Amino acid sequence: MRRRDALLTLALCTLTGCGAGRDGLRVVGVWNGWELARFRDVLTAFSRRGRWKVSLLSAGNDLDALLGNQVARTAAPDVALVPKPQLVAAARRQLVPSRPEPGAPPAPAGWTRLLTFDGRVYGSWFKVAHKSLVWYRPDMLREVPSDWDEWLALCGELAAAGRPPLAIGAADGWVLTDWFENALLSIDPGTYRRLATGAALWRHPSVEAALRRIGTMWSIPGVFAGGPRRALLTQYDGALIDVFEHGSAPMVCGADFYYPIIRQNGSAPARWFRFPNRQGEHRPLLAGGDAAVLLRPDGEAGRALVDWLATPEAARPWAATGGLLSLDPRVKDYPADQGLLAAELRNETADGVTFDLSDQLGGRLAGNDGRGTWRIFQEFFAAVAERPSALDAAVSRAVARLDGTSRGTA
Amino acid sequence: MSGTGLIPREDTRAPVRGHRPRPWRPVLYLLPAALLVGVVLVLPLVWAVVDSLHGGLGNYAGVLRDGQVRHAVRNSLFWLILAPVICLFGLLLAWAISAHRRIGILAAPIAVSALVTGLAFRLIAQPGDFLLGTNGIWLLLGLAFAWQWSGLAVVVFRSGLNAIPPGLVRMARAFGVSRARRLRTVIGPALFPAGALVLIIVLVAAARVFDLILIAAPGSDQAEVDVVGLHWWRFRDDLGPGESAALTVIQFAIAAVAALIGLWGLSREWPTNTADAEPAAGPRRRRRGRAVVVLAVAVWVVPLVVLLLTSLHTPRAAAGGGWWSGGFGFESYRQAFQSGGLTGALVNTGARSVFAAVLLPVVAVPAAYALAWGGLPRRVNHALIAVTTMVAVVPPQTVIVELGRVFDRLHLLGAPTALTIVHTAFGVPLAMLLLRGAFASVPREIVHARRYDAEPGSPLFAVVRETLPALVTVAVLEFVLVWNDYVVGLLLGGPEAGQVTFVLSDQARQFVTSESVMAAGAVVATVIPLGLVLATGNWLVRGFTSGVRPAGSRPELRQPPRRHGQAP
Repeated sequence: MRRRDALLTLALCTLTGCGAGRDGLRVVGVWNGWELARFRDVLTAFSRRGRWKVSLLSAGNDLDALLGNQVARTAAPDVALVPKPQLVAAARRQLVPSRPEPGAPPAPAGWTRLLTFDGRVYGSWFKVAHKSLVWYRPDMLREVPSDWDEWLALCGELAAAGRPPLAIGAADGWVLTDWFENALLSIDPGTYRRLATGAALWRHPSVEAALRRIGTMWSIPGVFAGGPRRALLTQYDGALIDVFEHGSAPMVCGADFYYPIIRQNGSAPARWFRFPNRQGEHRPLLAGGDAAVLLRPDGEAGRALVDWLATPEAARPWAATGGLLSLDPRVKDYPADQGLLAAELRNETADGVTFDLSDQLGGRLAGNDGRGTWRIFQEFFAAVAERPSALDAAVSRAVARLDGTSRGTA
Repeated sequence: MSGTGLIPREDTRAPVRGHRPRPWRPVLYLLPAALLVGVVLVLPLVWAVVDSLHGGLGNYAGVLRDGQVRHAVRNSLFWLILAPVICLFGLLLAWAISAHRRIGILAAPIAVSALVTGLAFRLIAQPGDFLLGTNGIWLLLGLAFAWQWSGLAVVVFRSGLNAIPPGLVRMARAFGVSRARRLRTVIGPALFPAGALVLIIVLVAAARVFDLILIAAPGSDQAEVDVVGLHWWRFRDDLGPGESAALTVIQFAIAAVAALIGLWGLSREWPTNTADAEPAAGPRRRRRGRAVVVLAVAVWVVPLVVLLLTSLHTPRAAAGGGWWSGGFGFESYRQAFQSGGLTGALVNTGARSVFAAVLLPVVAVPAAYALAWGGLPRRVNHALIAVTTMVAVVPPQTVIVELGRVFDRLHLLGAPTALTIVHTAFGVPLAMLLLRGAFASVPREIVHARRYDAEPGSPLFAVVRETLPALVTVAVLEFVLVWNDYVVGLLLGGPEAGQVTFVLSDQARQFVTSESVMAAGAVVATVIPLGLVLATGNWLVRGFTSGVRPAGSRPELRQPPRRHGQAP
């Protein structure tokens, strides 16, 4: 191996006239469009402070390769905004541990624990997300359901009356896994936490119960605007337009970061209620977030940026437009009732964060278009929504797929 | 057909004047191309094979035991079958078009990137959604691919058909030659050489299909339309190094099947059809031909019109409606440039494309000359052509792991020069094949005059001067390929490569709300290569079909050819 590398190295050296310097601080995020523009503003504010030259790149769906890839380590940026703790775990050998910042209030312990591996903390949270919401149109929905059974009955009634109650962006696999995670969190938070640490518990009865619960909702005939086939072709932003612009359904499950998309593309009023649980169950609060991690130990600029991104000054401008929640209580100027969501995230996660499960799964379960949990849940969705009578079979097949994939045998 | 290449004339004089034959010269000519291709493509390919065989054939068995991999392999083979079908469709359309000549626009989609094509077709399919389901998606992808490549086949085949002397067909018919035999002996040979090249190009495109699927298929369809190259990209971190190498070698093997088909076509000698005399068709056929042209052009511009219309909507109007609804404005263009990412990417991509387009001929021309006129032993020549064809279809995935490792060590990842050189290496084999065909069709006297007679100048430059269209074709194609690249930049440069196509594909994750901004970026990114291809259209057609300058513009041949080259 070494000899061949040396050979190729030599040959390429002669061809290209080796060496390429780099300048400035390179930051990589996974956002695009409007969100990327917001983050660019954040970086502009930062570079003004220290006269640093900062360049921002979007890694798209390929951040995994950029961070965890052993092959292309030099392609790695100086700072990355990582939406999956699992990626931080996988790439921790390439990362630089954080120093505790003197003076600043410490981040909630549960959140810090998510970034702690082998006793060291890697990175800090810049943006967190509340993913246990149902957005709805108050002009189309008069009463808000208080628990799961009420919600199920309401959806059943509306669907039977020929008015589809829900829109769903099932073309994005994470939309479906969020449904499952909310249901599992209501039913059995313990199993949820153990699954998140990598335990092979996919055959646990609670997993089956959660699948059955969301499957029951998805298999109501006429529950989705445009039908299940169209839902599978709709991305999450399309579902928001269906609800808040076209009014083809009154409700859509989602997260706080839907707010700016609704504001920019919808003309109807928007409100939210929490993802319903059954009475007597745990009220789910599914969290997501983007952590800033440092990939290069040299250079002060990178460390300064990671530290600064955890401060309220960095979060404020974006928070004011909606779409960003901060863990820092000093950030207050949220639009409308978004501040409430930030407070819920801060308070209800005091004794432990239930971070998005699919974002913590590694290996073959790691979700993306056409693979992992995203694909398994899309197949489950297609199965139950198109053939409601086959719910049992679909549930056991999904359990088998999850279990098999986690063991690498499927 | 003036028949300049068909003069039975042997130069029997001893080479007393001029240069002595230099057997090392062809080797020297081949060296730069061999070095570049060897380092960037062949060595990593060999190592991928070695890696994949680590521990016997177990890696292959392990990979193929996975049902998803088998599904992807089947899909990849399907794409290969699609390529000749598209060429055949092109031939039929060329036949129907009759002797019409203004059909260059049909080949214009080769200037449009696969990513933009996928985007345009997804926009077309969106209102109905019917084309995006599990079965419809195949139709959509097939149509998008056909749109990109069948036009090229039409133009090249039409040009080949035009080159057939009408009298020859009529005479064959008069002598009672059966239809099948006419096809085999008269029409077939006129179509063969250029047709084989087009087939290779389409086969390579089919074997490498990647970004078209990535953008055109919604997430829930991605598993259904998976191909080997995409599967490897999705699962490469889950596979062991041996299995990962095995999968990329399988992808190469599939492409090699394609290459063998094309090789069979290329191994024939290339006739010289230098002039395309428009055969006189009957008025009825003419009218029908014109109607077909108008219809074809009308269908062909639809994707570009949809793209343009979408881009001219405000983001909000496009999200709520689409290209067919109201809400026009230039807001999407403003937003496309607002972030600054697009401008930077355009500059990066442009610089890389120009550099590669200049570098490629420098490397490929001497090598192609050595293949055409180097005087290498026949068997060596054939072997070299075979190797070149095989290397032309090496998928980026196969060589990228090894290249990436070394680039990493050299701190070259994302370095503009390094990526450009890799691009050039990927372009060399196909350029050599195209140029060799053109060089070989240069009249023998032109070379011999320089080589053995007293005419001044190098025979290489004389040949290049005669084959400028082919040279332009090679440079333009390389510019277009590098400009439109997605997969090489993605695998080797990451986002740092700053490729225009990345900027576009990133936004696809919120497809509906960013469709007009994406379309605006796509329009900007397409105008440059499209303009280039349209501006050089006539040269390209000639470059593909024969590569030789029209007889009328060749000063030496303005006199009747028989007098030219007579012993002084």
